[in-house]
Amino acid sequence: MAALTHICKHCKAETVFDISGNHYDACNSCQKPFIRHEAAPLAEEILENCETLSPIIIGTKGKIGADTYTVTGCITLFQNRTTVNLYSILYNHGLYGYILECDGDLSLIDHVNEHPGNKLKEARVGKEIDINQFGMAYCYCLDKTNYISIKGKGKMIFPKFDNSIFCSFYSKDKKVAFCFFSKEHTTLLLGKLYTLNELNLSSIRPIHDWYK
Amino acid sequence: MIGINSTYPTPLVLSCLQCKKDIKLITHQRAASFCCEACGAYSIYDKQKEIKSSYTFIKAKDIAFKLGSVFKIEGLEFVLINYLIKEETSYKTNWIEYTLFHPVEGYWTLSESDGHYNLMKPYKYYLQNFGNIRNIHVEDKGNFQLYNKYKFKIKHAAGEFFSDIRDKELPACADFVAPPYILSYEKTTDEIYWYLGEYTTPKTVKSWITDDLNFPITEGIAPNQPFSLNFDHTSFIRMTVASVVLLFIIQAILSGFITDAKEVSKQTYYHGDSLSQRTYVSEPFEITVNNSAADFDIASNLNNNWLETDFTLVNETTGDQYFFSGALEFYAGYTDGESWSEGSNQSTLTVSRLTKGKYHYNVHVTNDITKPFGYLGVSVIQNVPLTSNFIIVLLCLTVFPIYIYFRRKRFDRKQWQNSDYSPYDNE
Repeated sequence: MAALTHICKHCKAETVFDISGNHYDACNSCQKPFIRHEAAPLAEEILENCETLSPIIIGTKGKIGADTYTVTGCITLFQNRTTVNLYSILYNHGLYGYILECDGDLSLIDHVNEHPGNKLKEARVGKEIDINQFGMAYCYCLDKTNYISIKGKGKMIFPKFDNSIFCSFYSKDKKVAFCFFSKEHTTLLLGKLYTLNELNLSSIRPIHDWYK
Repeated sequence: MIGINSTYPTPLVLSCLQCKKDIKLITHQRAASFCCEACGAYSIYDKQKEIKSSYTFIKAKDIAFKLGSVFKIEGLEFVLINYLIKEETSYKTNWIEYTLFHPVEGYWTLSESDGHYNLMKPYKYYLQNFGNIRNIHVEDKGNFQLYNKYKFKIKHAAGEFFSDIRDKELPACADFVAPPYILSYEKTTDEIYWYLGEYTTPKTVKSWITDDLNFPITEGIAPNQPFSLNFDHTSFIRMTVASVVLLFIIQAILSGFITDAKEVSKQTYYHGDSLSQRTYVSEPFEITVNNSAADFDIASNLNNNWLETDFTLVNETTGDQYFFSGALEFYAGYTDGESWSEGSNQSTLTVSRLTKGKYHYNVHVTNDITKPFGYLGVSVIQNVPLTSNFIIVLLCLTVFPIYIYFRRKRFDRKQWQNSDYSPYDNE
């Protein structure tokens, strides 16, 4: 069976998909990003040239416990109130994971639930909600994603981010949860807050004189 | 690869749609809006590179810091990206919030009100019930008291912002204080931001920047300003109480050792002439305990009369002399149907540091020539416990804490005078 490929609409070059399922990648030739949806495998219009202000870049390496990982890509969500960077990381054992960065908070995502149920839609800012496999969570932000930009490659955890609602929670013990809602889909990410040092990162952007 | 760089993107320079002056956006990847410092024109910055003019703020005056200034805080380089002048909707008080950005720490806020500064950091506080809560606890920081609840409007703005600052909904805000900390929230339907701030002196703020700037004059007391004498007041009070208790115990123990107080002389002198001054010489007596104190109890039978006594106690062995004096006065009468009296016919004079030996005293008495005093009795009791040292030490131990207590009380009242939730309102 022939490998699934993507033909770049900009340079017509062919890129072979090397990640199964929904994912994002960049054209091997012109480096323009594209998203592959299994259901509708057409490249979406996404922002280009959007940089992040985070020290984490593609190629950054890290270590959590016995596992090492490498940052392979980033989806930046431009929202009404803030900007969120969802980094894809590839662990040494071959599985993908995520680091979510928002306004200086770094969260290592250790669980993704693509069918968390409708109860999460009852979340209200400043109120508690009981989340399955998480416990009591405090909702602190409901935001709308207006645009996304993509760098590198990684798994798409959500079929379509544009115009989705992004909901953030924290617990009393530094756990965090993020939920993406759209009309058709809900995806819940569960994780824990980490500091930059706790993520044991190397090959990051030098922070000194960052503003120059 | 597009959009990936190992260095930070350089600032973006745009032209103001209104005055055409350059505007430098340092966090343009995140900025959602900006306001020209020169003319106040506010624009929405779309990530698809569209700039839409939206509003014009009135230009602010007397801003201490320049946009783009670098603040070196806790070893990290923050850049001032915007400032907002906010006005509380009820009392119309103003304050300035300077937003500082760092790629790792995110957004910190330096707020200034009446020359007082607070460095505010985002904080994740878990509060479910916003109703009538007056006290909240923060781990490692203690109990915070509600200081104020309010809403605000933005009066002036300049710089780049990560969201549209002209949202229609006014956030509901509250400040809780536990000097030097302040815990604040801003809540709308869509978000709640908690900030934990710490009172920061202008001197500390100056140490963060290299520019030579004029800071506003400090007025009044900030809600979370710590009391100037910077020590743990609870420990201080505990230490004072413990010291006073210890002092009483020592005094009781020492008094217990002195069990042989003894009268060594008792003499009575009668007024037998009309002179206004006279001197009596006592019979010799023995002081038998070295380095002891003696009480001279003087007594008379005065009635609406007075007398003064000047003693010279002479150690006949060494020739040492001790001078001390005392007075007696007693008045009584009947006025407006009530009898009254004041003064006393008895008094005690204490002499300390007496050495062992044979003594006598000369007592020089002065009185009103027209009113004879009857008699003067003098009893000498040796080896009495000395209470004056105890009182002096007690005063030394308590005067400073009492002074601190009242100063602190005054400070606290003044600190809470701008609060709708002052604990001093009912006093």
